[in-house]
Amino acid sequence: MANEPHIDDTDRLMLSDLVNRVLDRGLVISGSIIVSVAGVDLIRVGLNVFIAAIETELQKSADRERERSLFHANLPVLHPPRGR
Amino acid sequence: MPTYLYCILPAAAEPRAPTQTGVGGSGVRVLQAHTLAAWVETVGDRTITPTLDRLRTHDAVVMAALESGETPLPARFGQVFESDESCRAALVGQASRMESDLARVRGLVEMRVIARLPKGDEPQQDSAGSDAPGTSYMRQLQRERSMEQIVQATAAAVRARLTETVGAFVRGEAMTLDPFPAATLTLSHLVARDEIPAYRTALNGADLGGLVERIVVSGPVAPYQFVSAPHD
Repeated sequence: MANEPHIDDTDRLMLSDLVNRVLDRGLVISGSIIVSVAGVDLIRVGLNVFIAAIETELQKSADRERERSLFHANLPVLHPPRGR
Repeated sequence: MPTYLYCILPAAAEPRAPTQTGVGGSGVRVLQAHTLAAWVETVGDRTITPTLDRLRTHDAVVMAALESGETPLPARFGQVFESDESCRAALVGQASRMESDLARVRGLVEMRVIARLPKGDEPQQDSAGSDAPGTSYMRQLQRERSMEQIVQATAAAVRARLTETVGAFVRGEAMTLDPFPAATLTLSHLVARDEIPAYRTALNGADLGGLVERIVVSGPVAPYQFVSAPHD
């Protein structure tokens, strides 16, 4: 179980495809496009970095979700105290 | 006010008015430019930072245009013009290229086959530890180069098998291969709208045993991969 990917690989492929398609393909009218991430031009940063950043965020989110479910799964069942 | 561009349709097709909300939170509308009809949005700023939500919104607007029945030329994310007038002027200035592209993709959609390819053994650090740093670096480069060649050969084999399987339905093809960090092959196929079911059926029968780790088919989408570059 520990070796299973936290993000489904199909989702990862679809996500990368969306980013590649919409950010790196399609009609360019104005000759050049500069889109920026956190104030840095994406042309300089590179598309792969952007995809990696998104995947990292998704991974973190998946890790948090997994930890939360594990945390809850390991909790002993506590019954409310009965009166003395 | 700045104008954000989503896609282009032939004006003669009289596409229905869009109803979507765009990346800037305003309604998407049609901007007529001579023989072209552009789907645009008035945005507050000329800089649109890409986020996943905005990428999805951009794609959804283009998808809505595609579902109108006419195949649009999808614009790349992030094209913002000073005003409607400057957008219209830019479109009219390149109208002949776009009219030609629109004619080429009419009645067609893009199907994308995305395959994760096996890379073989990962490049290992030199365990001997006796090489000088420069030698070790060169060895590492050699291993990576060898891995890239394996990926390219696998990609060519996948492409050949898919061509055998779905070639009859493919009106245009484009291939991209990203060897690193994950070896991913994307084959874009231009397919007639009414042949999508047959294309999918044929694709399901493709024998790619051992050549791919995972394969995903995306589409139909607007022909992002099949628009010509400016100043061709």
